[in-house]
Amino acid sequence: MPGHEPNEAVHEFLDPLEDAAAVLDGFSKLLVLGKKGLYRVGQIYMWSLNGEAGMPLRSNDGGDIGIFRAAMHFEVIEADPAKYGKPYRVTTRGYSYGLEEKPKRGVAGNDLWRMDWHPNGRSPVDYPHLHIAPNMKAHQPTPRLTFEKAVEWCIGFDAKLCCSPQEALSTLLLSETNHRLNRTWNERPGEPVG
Amino acid sequence: MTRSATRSVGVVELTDTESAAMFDRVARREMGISGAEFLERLDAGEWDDLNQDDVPGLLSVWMYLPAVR
Repeated sequence: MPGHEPNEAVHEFLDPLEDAAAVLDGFSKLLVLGKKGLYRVGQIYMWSLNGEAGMPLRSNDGGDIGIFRAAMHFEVIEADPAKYGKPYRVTTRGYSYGLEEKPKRGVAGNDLWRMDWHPNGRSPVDYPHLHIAPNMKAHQPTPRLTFEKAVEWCIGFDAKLCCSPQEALSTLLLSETNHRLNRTWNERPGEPVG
Repeated sequence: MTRSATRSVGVVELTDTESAAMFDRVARREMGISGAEFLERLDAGEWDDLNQDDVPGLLSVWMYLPAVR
């Protein structure tokens, strides 16, 4: 995900996420908000899958599964060219991925699960965690979870795909590997590395 | 990879105006208040001592803060 310029680093970061979203059947766009001119170091940006509408998912038998929502905070940082090959890369600063029941009579459905990490938010829970029905208030600690993992969970809920399940999983593995090769922590920020 | 006709993926960079409008819509959808009111109440510290997850919609709107800040 490194780049010679911040703009290149951002697009190297987003391209695999596009591929991951593309395995799901339906209309999807990654909307980048808060760009405020050129991408620059030190500014937090965000992307959202289809904005406030989210991505409606249908099952393989044509039924409604719910609304897949995904948003991520990211920042362009300076990178060690000796390690990353280029002087800029993008790091994740928070995420929220979730599957929500389909709205009923105009009222938003309940969350079925949500993967959250919001270290800069107003919560004592600053580690990655999972909320899952029926007790959505509980924070189940998790390692850092990827967007690709959230897409896999949607597939686990029988979401219809644009390709074969094998192709989808291969795409997600490739995309996630790209992320894993460049990230600096897995369980907790600042964890010891070997 | 074989794709169905319904595939439509891409990256779209919203303008500042579009970003602010989306932030406003999310605040209204999630908390029933305007984006401007959300920012006022946030800056006033209304939610400082609360768990973000205990206020319905707060986390969802907070995720969109970079759209306007």
